[in-house]
Amino acid sequence: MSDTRARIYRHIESHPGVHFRELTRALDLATGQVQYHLARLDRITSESVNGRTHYYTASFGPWERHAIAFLRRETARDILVTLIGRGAARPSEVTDHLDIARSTLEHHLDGLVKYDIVEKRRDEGRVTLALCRPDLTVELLAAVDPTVPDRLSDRFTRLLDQLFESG
Amino acid sequence: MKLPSVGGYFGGETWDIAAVVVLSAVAVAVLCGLAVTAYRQRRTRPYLLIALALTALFARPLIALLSGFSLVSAPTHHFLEHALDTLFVVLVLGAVYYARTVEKRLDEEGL
Repeated sequence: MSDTRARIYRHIESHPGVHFRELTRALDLATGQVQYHLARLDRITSESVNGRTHYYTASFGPWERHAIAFLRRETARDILVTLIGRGAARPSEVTDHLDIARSTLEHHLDGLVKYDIVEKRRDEGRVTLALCRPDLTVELLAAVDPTVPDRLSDRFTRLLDQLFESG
Repeated sequence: MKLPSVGGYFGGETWDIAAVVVLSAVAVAVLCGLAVTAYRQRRTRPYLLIALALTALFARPLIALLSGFSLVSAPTHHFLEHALDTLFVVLVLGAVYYARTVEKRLDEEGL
């Protein structure tokens, strides 16, 4: 295995769910170079979540790959942490606690529910949110941390969500 | 008043203007990138209008740079700057107007 390919592998190993652009930035490689090596690394899997591609080593299953992708997004991470702390919560409790707009919560829930990370329980017409696999979610929480550009883009979107809803 | 229509201002002692223009181009590029990402996540009209408004804002320092290198005359630069300001304001007003549509859709979903 070439030196560059080994570096790419090691970076993905220590940063599960890393984005393509982050790889080029962190390793100071050209787009084409990273594409070339990723295509030849068969021990690496990728997952596309909400239009962004994340890379993982083969040690993670599909559920874990999706959960990691969400834990890399600051607001989704905040929502998951809130649910870890409370066990289960009403949507309004989550928006109040995090001071986010309803549309922000709904946007993230779309993906979280789709990939069985969060479930919407309905009793008597009331919705309660809960984690599908709380223990595994807690374990993965420690494995990943959002990057600065990820945090910035998340916060700007949250800001717009709030501006558009407070009218 | 006679506007200097030939000769860029980036030669000689005006490096401070050039520095401010470049700094503003970089800062607006970051903001514009965030707005485009927000639009790609939400895919609704207000987010699109904000992204377009910030793109108009990003065009300002680019035109200033072209003018600085004498590729655009001073009157054209002046005209384009005011046109872009107007475009920016119209796009933000549009975003504000359509923001209510987003809220209404959420009301209907009854969350």
